[in-house]
Amino acid sequence: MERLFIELKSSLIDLAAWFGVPAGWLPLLSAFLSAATIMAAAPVIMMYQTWFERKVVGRFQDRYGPNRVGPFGLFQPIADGVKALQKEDLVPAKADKLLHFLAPALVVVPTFMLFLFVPWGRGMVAADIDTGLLFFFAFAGLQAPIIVTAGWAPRNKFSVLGGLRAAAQVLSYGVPMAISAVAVVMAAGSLSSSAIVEAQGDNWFILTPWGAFAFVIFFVCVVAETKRTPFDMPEAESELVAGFHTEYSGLKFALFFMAEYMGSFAACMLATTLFLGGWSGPEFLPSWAIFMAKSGVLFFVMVWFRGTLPRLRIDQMLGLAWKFLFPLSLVTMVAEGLWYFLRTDGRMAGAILWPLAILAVSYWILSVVMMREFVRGNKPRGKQDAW
Amino acid sequence: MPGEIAFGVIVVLTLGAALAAVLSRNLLRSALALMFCLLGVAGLFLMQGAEFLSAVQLLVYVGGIAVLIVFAVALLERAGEPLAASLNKLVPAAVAVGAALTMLLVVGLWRSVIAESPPASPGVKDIGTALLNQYLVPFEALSVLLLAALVGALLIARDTGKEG
Amino acid sequence: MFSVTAYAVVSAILFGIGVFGAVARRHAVAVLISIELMLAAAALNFVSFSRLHPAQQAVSGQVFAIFIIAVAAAETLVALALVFSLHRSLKTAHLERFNLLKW
Repeated sequence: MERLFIELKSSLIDLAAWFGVPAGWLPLLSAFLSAATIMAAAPVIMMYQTWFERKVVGRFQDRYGPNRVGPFGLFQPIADGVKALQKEDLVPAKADKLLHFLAPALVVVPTFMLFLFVPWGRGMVAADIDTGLLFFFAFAGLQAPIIVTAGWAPRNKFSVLGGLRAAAQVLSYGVPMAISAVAVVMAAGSLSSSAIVEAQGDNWFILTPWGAFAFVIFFVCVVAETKRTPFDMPEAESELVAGFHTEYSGLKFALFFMAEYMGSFAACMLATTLFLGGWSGPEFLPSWAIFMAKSGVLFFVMVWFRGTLPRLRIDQMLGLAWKFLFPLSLVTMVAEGLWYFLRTDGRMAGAILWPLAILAVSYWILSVVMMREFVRGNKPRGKQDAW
Repeated sequence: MPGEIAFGVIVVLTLGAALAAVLSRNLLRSALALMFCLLGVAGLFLMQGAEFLSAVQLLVYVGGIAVLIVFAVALLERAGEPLAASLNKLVPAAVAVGAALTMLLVVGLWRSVIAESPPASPGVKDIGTALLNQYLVPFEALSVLLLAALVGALLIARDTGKEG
Repeated sequence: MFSVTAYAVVSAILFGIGVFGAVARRHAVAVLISIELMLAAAALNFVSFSRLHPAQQAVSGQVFAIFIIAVAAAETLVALALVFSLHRSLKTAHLERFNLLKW
């Protein structure tokens, strides 16, 4: 049961080899099988994410969620898909036709690739390279130019502004996210996700003091990266019409929607890998089931945020990233260094204690100054900037 | 065999996108073509075993520089300038110079004998160690450079409030 | 084709395309894009040739490529700031119009 998918894949490859596929092509076939599985599984996961979100948000708002289409509304996502497909595809007259057509597809591609670098189970990383984590962040940041293009393609001023804001949000929150992940990489000693999970074993990183902080920072950044409430300024209905995906209807909008949900689940998976021990858990359950359960719990927390918290304004949001989370993530990284070195290597501690202490104090001063400025700058102002 | 096909596909993507970047009339398509070209170059780094560099290329070049350029194009458009960015009267000279340079390099490469040795792919640890030992001074100088560039760009592009 | 020559040829062609763009384009940002192509070609060249050396020295090629990428970022930033500033005064970013210093 544990090795179900691994055995399935290797038997398929053996079958292909028996059928006469030359040996040079077998790694390509193996990669193709992993990619095909992800491309099949991720949209299905996304469909039931939407169902889960609508039911849970409904319950937060003291109502049932969708319950008409199928038992407990389980076929609602299929109905949503059919609805999106049969809508008229409106392209504005002055829009750049090629970019308007390509942008939704381009937004989805990096999101699919995020699933390649997370360990779905023991030994089940689709692309097990040594720098997997770095590639995850690279693909997460790859969305930024594509979002600006998507906003620019309809040649609509509000759309362009929405695209610029969304890209600024994605880029700004990528920085504290990466820095808090660097703390994990320092503790695990490798950038590869499977190595990070194995380095945790039973003491998950979230159970350490620096890990708890790093997890909170990372999770907040991840919620903001995937543009979910309370950071969903780019797509809120009352802001700039619908932000950068105003002029996209039908299947194109469905693709943006899909990219957002898949991205949030992939990010939950990464947070599980980095801080919650990935697939480690009780021995009697298969590793991939434990992993999906943990990621599901994190997604529930994301839905909880959506049902509870009001939306942030764009300047509050960017201020939070740069003046609050960024200094805090630097302090967390230094704290992790202290925790790690002081516990493992007493001899080295003497040598690096002074530099680390100076670094820690300076970052602490920086954080206090910036956070006070953030809090003080957040009062209502008479004259809003054009931004 | 699949390795050669992958190489060919990535090279076609890279060079095709580069041609689109320099020949396109629409600046945003040019910027997007640059993004694809840099993606292709990241793929070429990956094929040579430079995984860390490939990820850094994606993170910084595509997720940073290409974003900057796309932002700039989107904002310049807002200012009312039509985006007809066509070619100027130096096209024949440009073709001559570009072609001559390329021919020189390619002929030089084909006629030289480069001793093949097993490919060496240093890992992240080696790069990190080198950056902090051999290349420490350039590394620190680089951070000063980036700071100077940031401050300089802010100063230059600042709207001082007076026109002209 | 994993020979160094193949990658070096690709980098040479990319460089040539970049040179063409830098000379023949009118808009300042288009010239900047061509310069980025040239820098990417140079980085690719560094990494290809670094493979010829044993692992201890091969790291230099990748470190240089990292420096190239970072310097390209700094240069793009300043160049775009300049383009914006010029655009604000002259209302255009076409290089032929920047002729105020001519007699």
